[in-house]
Amino acid sequence: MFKDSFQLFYFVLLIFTHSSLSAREVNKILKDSVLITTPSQAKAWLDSIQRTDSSTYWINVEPAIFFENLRGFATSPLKFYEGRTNNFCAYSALTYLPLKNDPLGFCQFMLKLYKEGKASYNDVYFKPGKAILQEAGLLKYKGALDLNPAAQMWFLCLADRFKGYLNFVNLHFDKGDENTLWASTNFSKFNRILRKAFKLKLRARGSDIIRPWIKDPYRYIEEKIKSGTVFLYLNNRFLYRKKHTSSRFSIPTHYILLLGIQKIDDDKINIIYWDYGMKSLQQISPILLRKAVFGITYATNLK
Amino acid sequence: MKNYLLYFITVTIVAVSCTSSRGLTADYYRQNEAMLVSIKDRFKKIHRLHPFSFEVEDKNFSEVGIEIITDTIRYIYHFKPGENNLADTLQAYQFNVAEMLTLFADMKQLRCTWITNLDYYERGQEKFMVFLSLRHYKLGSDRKEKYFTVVFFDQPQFFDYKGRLLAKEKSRTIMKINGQVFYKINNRVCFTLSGTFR
Repeated sequence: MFKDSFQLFYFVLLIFTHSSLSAREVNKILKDSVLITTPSQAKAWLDSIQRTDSSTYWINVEPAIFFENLRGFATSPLKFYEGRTNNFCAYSALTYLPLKNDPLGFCQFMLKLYKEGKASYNDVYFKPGKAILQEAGLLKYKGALDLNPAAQMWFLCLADRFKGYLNFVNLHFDKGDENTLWASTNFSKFNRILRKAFKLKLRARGSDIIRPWIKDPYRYIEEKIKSGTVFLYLNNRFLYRKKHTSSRFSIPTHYILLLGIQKIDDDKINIIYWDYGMKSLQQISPILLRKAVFGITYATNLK
Repeated sequence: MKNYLLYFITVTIVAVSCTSSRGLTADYYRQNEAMLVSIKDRFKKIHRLHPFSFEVEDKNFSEVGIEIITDTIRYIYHFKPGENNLADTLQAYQFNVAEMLTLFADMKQLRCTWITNLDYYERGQEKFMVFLSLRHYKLGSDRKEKYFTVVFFDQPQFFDYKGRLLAKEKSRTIMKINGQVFYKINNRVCFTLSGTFR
């Protein structure tokens, strides 16, 4: 009985999510109030500040490593890495924007969060609970994320602060939840984070279950990427195959930042994208592009 | 009585499935050790000069993919049967084509589906292991775990009394690789059965 009503609840939510996004609706347009700072400003600021002692809040984040991580945020945004076998890909993809547009503001926010255990970024208030404060710095076997407690702090804070319907089954963090639905991000939540935390003009097409109704996805994406930042929400199976079985049901599972797209001929499209801390170039067919992409988010570039 | 029968059937099924996988893991590595170690050694030698990963993308082992990693970008290529441009691509990236094609042929012979160099971190130091998966007929279609995965470390590792890979000496923390617990084959090699090959 519970199972049935639970499934019904999810079905209604999925329909709701789709109906709220599939229409050609421009998301709420917010003012371009984001401050633009440069990596050199962030570096100069990091050099000028006095190093703090260990945080009384983030007990497993050592200050020396924390500052080294902040320097990495400022100098090499494309090396920002979400780690392996977790559900942080959405948070990692969207972090490209503050690292690119406002590295100084982001580093200042991170330091405040480290010192005081709470901080606001673009009027979004982060006050993580005890479980989050204790866990940052302890995530292991995630590749280079093991050495980046500052990124762990940020990912855990984002997952704790923003909730979507996928998170309703697991709202409170327990150890190991970075791999579970607690950390997952549906398309609507992804766009909400971008709008609220980074105050960007957004246009989103697509949903969690049905692909966007766009006649020519290549042309649409190509046009958008000329004047803004494009994120794709896609079925990861098409980019990184992990097993050889095929499934009738295709669902999106991964977010990438698209850096470039180019048609080679009628059967081949080159896509350049950023995920897992590196740029990748992959040649795909127009059919695969249509099949893989469930959501396209477009943010206007800041002038 | 009905419950006892159900319990007996369940236990039998579990026991049979465990025996099958144990047989594969215990024997398979030893039977094919020379070839597996040779593949690992050749991969490491080539990888040192030209970082790459290789995958087999279909059940028939005819479609393959290669990821070539440079300082700035990772190129991901897919090759379908009948396309002869794998060798051209390897040539373009200055690989030793003959050496690579022999390696891929040996991998296919062992039904290897994926080989890569994977980073891990020990006391803040970056280290690497060779991660190799293969799809074996003994792991039939009815099993959840379809891939036999072997990892090769450069240094001896530590294991608990159950043979599970540990994070460090005298530690109780089990080290997971791609979210999986690995079991000892010898001090530097361990395995797991997994539902995914990478």
